[in-house]
Amino acid sequence: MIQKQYLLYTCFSLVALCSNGIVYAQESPWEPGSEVASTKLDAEENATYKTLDDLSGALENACKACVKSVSPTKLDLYLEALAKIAVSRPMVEKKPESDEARSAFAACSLVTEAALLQMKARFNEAKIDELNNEIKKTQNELNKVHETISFRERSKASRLKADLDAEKEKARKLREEADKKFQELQSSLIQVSNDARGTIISMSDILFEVNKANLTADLKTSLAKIAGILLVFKSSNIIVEGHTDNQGSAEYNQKLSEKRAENVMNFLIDQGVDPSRLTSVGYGFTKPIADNDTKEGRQKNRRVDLIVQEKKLFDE
Amino acid sequence: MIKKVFVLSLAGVIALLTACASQYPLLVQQSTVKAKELRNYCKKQTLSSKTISRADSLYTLALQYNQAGKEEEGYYTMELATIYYKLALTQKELADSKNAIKNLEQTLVKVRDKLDTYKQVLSEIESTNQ
Repeated sequence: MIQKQYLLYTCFSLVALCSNGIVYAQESPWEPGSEVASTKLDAEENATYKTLDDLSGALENACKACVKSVSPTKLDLYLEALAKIAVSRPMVEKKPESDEARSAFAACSLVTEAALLQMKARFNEAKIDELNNEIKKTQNELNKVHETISFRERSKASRLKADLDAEKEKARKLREEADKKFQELQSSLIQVSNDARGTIISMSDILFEVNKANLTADLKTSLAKIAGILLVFKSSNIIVEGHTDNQGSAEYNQKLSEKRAENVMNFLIDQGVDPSRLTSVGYGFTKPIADNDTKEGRQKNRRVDLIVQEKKLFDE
Repeated sequence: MIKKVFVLSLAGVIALLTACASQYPLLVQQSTVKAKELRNYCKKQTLSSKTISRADSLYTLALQYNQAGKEEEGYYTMELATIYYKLALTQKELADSKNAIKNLEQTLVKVRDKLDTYKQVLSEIESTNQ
């Protein structure tokens, strides 16, 4: 009994393997990986079967559903199920009510179920390949867009750097020119120097009326020239500082220094310098630059300083 | 040529028949080996489900039949156990593939979203440059 069945089983497997090629060669109405094919496979997977014809029909339908996306060599359970159905058919049809027939049908149902699940799994593998390809394709596109963005950003940065360098160069030339003109103002009453804060133009108090904050005609002439330079050298801010010697009260000297600084600032504004560039401050006798015990020292301490500071284009 | 093919085919058929003629104990042995291999493989995969439990109990029953000399019952039971093991493996394979699809679909959505964002950034850069 076993030998006969084994022989039939083996032969039928061979036949099924050969005929399978014909099945797969047929045109399928379902496209690989399509939702229709997937639904078809799901329907077969969930259906219930009462006869061997139902089982072989289910296998046939499921096979058609995934024929384009799954290689026949990957469907070993499909072949096994077909063979088992063929081998069991004579017994099941001859004695359908016998225990052997029932057992054979149960085994056929089981292997068919496994075959259908395998088809679905293989179909999913094909879908996984498709998804991987789609992800790869999208990722490649993403990389290209990213490269383009990087390129554009680099170009933009280069342009900005070139613009900044040009601005710096322009500012440097203006600064040099302004410094040159400030140096030309140098006299016994106006001292021009440079330190970390910028260019310092120090004006003697002789240019002010005695113990007053009014500007003399000589100072106005010099300040007009300075204003002319500042109007060209726009990338600078100006701090006007008033200073005195230690003769007299602190309060008096403080007010005098503030008033003188303020008057100088207002004069510059009158000459057209942007007020937003100007600041005035009085220090009284708190910031001497020479000895207040000597006449010469006190003379030096009585002054108004203009500090010309270059504006920074960017924080570097 | 035709003769040669015929003789070879005939020899093949005879060899097949001869091989099957005295294979009764061998069939039982083969089905047992096959079922055992599948059983071990399932254990390595740490599969546990109703299907596996059913397969294991059939496997044990088949061994008992074989030990009692009931080779026919042993053979069929072992074959059934084999089918159950295959079914369990296929169920696992299907579940894995469903998970993989779910993960890949999520990845695809993320990559597409990222691509859309990058395209928007690029379009803004280009419109700024113009």
